[in-house]
Amino acid sequence: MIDVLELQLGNWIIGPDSKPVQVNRLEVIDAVDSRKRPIKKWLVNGLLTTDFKELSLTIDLLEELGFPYEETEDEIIFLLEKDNMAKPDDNRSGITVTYLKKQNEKGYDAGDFQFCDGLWHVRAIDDLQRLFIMFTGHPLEIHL
Amino acid sequence: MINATDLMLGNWVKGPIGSYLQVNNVNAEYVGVSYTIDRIGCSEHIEVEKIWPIPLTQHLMELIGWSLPKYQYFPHGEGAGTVTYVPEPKKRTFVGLTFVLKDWGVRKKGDIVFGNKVIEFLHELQNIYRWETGTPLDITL
Repeated sequence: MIDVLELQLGNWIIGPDSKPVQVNRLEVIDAVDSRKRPIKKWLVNGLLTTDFKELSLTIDLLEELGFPYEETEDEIIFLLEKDNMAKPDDNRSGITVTYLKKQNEKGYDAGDFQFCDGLWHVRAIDDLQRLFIMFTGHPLEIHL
Repeated sequence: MINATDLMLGNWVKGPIGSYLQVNNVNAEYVGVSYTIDRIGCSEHIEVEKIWPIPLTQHLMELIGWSLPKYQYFPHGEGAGTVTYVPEPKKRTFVGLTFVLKDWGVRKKGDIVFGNKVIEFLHELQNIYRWETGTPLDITL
């Protein structure tokens, strides 16, 4: 089940039909349980959050989304947005997500994805979208 | 006007007449908000164009229970001229927000900074706090 309190409009998640779906509506409604006690219900696109899952981050997915990348012996660095001051061939200057091929000195494990050179660990596309908007002030354009 | 894609459920925003409202519903066209009048809970839908972010100020930080430490350490070099906000002790969490005390490099006096980013609005603080701690920032306004 997904945590609706962490979602924003435009986030990509897995829907009830097991296909990627974009969040276009988030809401909390007042309801009652079977014993008539007041409870809150959380909805995504009008459906209960239990119907949704995270869309896991994978190398294949980042490649499919078209982000340029640079591969080294230890990691693969995907560039989400280039720094305005960066040189055209510099794939490390800007907002990046890095896939680790082996454990690094910061304690991240092989297979982990790090946002912006180890600032945070990310595991799903909605994590990435949320951090991106936090840091740039504008949404990360993703088309699936 | 606020950008609807910035919002999460539970965010605090400012309504058309300047009142503080909490988001309980959001889509591209409108924001559902809740508020209290004479201890009675109310909710309504407001067009996104009529919703505004709440600017984060030192006064607001103190209002929501965060304070600057009484004894401040003024380091030299990197970090000079800044002081770190301390969340309410009972929360037992730490989010490294710094309050800029004087113009310093690209930073302006009064800026509230997280990492390399200036946090301008309350909903941004709520979203960062949620990310950092995994729990919502408990705010009553």
